[in-house]
Amino acid sequence: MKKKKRKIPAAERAIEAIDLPSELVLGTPCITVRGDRGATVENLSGIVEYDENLLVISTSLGIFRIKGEKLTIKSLTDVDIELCGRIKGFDIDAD
Amino acid sequence: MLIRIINFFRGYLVIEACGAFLERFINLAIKSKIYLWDIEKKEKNKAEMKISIRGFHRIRKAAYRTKTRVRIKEKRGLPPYLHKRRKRKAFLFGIAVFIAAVILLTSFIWSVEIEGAEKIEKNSIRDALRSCGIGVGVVKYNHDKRVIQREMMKKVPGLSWIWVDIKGTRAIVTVKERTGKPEIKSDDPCNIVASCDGVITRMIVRDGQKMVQEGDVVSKGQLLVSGVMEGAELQLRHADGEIYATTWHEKNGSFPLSKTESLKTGRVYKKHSVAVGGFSIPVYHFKRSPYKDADVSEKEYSLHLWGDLYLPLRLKTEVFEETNILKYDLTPQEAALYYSGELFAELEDGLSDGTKILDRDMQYVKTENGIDLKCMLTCSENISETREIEITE
Repeated sequence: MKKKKRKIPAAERAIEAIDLPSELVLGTPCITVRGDRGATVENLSGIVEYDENLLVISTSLGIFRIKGEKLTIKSLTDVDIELCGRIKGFDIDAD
Repeated sequence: MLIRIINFFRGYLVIEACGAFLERFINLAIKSKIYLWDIEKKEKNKAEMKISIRGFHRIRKAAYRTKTRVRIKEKRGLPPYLHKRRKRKAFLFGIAVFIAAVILLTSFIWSVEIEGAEKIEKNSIRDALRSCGIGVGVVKYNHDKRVIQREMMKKVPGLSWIWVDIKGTRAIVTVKERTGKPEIKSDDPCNIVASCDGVITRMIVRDGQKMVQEGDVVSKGQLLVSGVMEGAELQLRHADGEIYATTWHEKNGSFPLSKTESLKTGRVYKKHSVAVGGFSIPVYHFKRSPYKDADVSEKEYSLHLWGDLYLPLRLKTEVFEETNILKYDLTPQEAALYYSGELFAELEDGLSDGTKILDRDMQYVKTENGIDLKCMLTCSENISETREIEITE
C-alpha cells in the first residue's frame, strides 16, 4: 500500500510562520521532561495504563509511553498531567 | 504551592481505589472535571489518591461504571480538622479569643502620621488632635471627621485645611498650611507706617519721603515714610528707616483686698492607674483625694515597643500634695503693689524686641470689695512697619 504523504494543514503552517506556541493554539501535546525527576505532559486525552514503572497516555498525536521507577502522578486535570519519579525512558507511537 | 494552601483550607480526602480498570476510572473522573492529585499505585488493582471533598461527592458515577471500590483513608485539611475538634470547648474558646484579640487590636489607632506640615510644629498638631479625640491608643471608630476638621481649624492657627484618614490602624492626617502675607523684599517699593500709637522722638530715614516730623503724634497705621518720590518724575522707592517713638501700653484689672498663698505640708498621696484608650483603671489607692486642698500633678507614661510602636496602654500617676491655703488681708496700697507686679509682667510679655521701658505708672481706685488697678508702661520703641504701596489713582 502506498503511504500517503501527510499534508500539513494550512492553519498549522500559518501558526508556525508567526511563531505562536502550537500547544496553546492548536492543542498539540507538549512534553516537558525535567532531568530524570519528572515530566509534564500538556494536552493529553487520557490515561491508557498506569503503574509504578510505566505510564501510558494517549494524546492527539498518538500514544506516549514513559518508563521509570516509582512513578506517581502529582497532579491530574483533563488537560495536563504532572509526573514525579525517576524517569528511565520514553517513546512516542505516532499513528 | 499556592494550590496546596488552597487545598488545605478547603479540605481534601485521601482515598483508596480498588478495581481492575483504574485507568478508566481516572479518565472518567478527570473528564467530569474532578481534580485528582498525588496518585500513587500501591499494588496491582489498588491506587491511592487525593481528591477534594466536593469531587468525592461526584465520583460515584465513575466508580460505579468501572466497578471500582472507593474507600476514604484519611480526611485532611482545615474543615475536617475543625470538625473533629468541634466538641473541645477550650480549643474553640482559644480560637474565639484569638479572633477577638485580632479584632480588638486592629480597632485602635496605633500611629498618627502627619503629612504636609512644614511650618507648623507637628507636636502642636498632635496635641490638638489628641484633644479632639485622635491619638495613639484611641479606638478608631465613631469619629466624626467633619467635627474634628472644624475643631482643628479653630485650635491650630495657620491651618487652611486638614483631613484625618483612618487607614487600618494608622491615622493619616493631611495638612495644608496657610501661606502667610507675601513678605516685602528689600528692594520692592513700599511705605513705612506706624505699628502703634505714639509720639515720634527720633527718625532715621535712609530712603523715601518723610511724611511726619519729630514730636508728631501718630496713630496706628499712619503713613510715616512714603515710597512715592515726587520730583521731576514720579518714582517708587523702597522706603527704609527707623522711627523711634514714645508709646504707652496699658492694662486694667480688678483685684480683691487679699492674697492667698499655698504652702505644701509635705504629705503626699499617690494614685496609680492604667489607662486603656479613654478609660482608666485604678490599680493602687482608689480614693479620689484625701486632702481638702491639694496640688494635683499628673504624670503619664505610654507603653511602647521598639521606640515607635505605641501600645494603647498608659501608666498614669496622679500625685496629690497636701497644701495649706493661707489668706492674708491687704490694705488697698499693699494690694495695688502686689497685683501690679502681675499686670506689669503681662504687659512686658507683649512688648516687641528692642523696646526700652522708660517709666512704669500705676493707679488704683478702691471699690466695694477690692481695687480697680490700672498699669501703664511708657516705652521707647521702633514703630516702623513696611507696607505695600496702594495705588489709588
